[in-house]
Amino acid sequence: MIWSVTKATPGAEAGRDGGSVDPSEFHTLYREHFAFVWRCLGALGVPAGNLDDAAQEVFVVVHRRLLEFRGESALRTWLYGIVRNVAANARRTQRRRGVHDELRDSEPCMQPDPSASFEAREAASFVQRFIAELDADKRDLFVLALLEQLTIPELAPLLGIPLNTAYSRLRALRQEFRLALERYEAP
Amino acid sequence: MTIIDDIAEQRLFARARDGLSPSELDEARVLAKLEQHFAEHALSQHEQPSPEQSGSPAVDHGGASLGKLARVSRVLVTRPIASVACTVVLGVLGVMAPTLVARVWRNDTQSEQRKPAVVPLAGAPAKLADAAGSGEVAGGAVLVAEQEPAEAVHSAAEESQPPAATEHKRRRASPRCPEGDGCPALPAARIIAPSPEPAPPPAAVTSLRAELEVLKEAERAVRERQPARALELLASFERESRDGAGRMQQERAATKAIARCALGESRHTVYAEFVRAYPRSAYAERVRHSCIPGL
Repeated sequence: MIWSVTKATPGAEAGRDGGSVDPSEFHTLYREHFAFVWRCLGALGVPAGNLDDAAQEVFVVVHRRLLEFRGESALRTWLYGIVRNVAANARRTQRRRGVHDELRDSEPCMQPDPSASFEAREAASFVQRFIAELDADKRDLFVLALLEQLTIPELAPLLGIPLNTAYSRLRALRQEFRLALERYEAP
Repeated sequence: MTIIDDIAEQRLFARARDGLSPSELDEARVLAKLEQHFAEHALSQHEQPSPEQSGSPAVDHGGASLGKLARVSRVLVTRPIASVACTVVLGVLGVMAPTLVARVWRNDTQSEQRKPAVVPLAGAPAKLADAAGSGEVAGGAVLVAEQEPAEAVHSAAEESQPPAATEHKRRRASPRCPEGDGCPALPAARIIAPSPEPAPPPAAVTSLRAELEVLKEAERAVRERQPARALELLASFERESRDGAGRMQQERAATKAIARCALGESRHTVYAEFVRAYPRSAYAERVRHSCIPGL
């Protein structure tokens, strides 16, 4: 269990009790969740050229706040909370800058991995465009429930909604997605 | 929604996940950047006066933790290769443990007379194996046995215990070596600084920082439409670099490729060379865009 060492003791705040993140535990967390973080950042519209920096920022925050995590939510939803903030900052910076930077910002919002099949790239691109059109609540639900396949009980605390509301929103979201897909596939 | 729709949808999401997933290189590259970030953070901590020197109370446990992480992450980045070497070294250390403990005991007693400042090092066995080869670390500090990995203050009373008395505690303290599984009792590492002056930053940190500076300077030169200068900077770094290759080869290669294209070299050839050298590089798209914008 990854939290056996890093979980904060009751009543103690991170750092104040002299506790620190065990580097090997942090490394384990990095290896296990890097792909999740990377995918979510990409899905949330962080441009490919900024993914490195955004992923790095996520794990810097994770390192800083790891001792605060008390296991009250699923680890991946806790991570997603950080990812969501970092992605929002990255998008804001991108909009504010608005200047074409030849070295960093010229890539489309797409993974450049040539080993990914054309179908995978196309599917990723479609999903990214669909997510970009959603409002914030639906976006989180889509990424976690449909793309990352988290269960509703896992993600409902992050969204701050009752389970039944989450289920009904998910049904509506899937319907919306199917319609978008049909429009996309229509000749 | 029909079952067929569900299956098609699941297939689509699986493909999208594939398309969004990072490569192993992405993972390694971000880890290297994290390492660099923590190393720089540790360096800035290092350059500030210590709490003892400034007389202020010690409050920045997070910074100390980052420093520990930076040191350990240097080992973790090369973990796949290092793990094999560590296994061998740990085996040797298991045999040599009593001798090592006796030696460091003597060193500890000597260093105690100099009233050393003690810095606990996060107790990764791999790191101990890495450091134990020389017995010394930067600034002439000496590796000594530690009673508890989480111990923050060096206890003179514990110093007076014979090494054998702490062996049982060390066995229990190691998360990688549960009691009774036959693992050798390894002392966690701790650095005893021989003098109150701060040690110079580790060579790896300074070379990484130098490499980063050169890379930033070269990228700036490319942006300012001075590709020849960028190439000169990178070539100069590679000539002078002590370890030859440096840690950010791929980043340097991408910047070089963009500079070469800007200089008018055959753009398709430059791009093809880069992709051949780094087929899964995240910079391939950037190089392609700069070299062959219309492709």
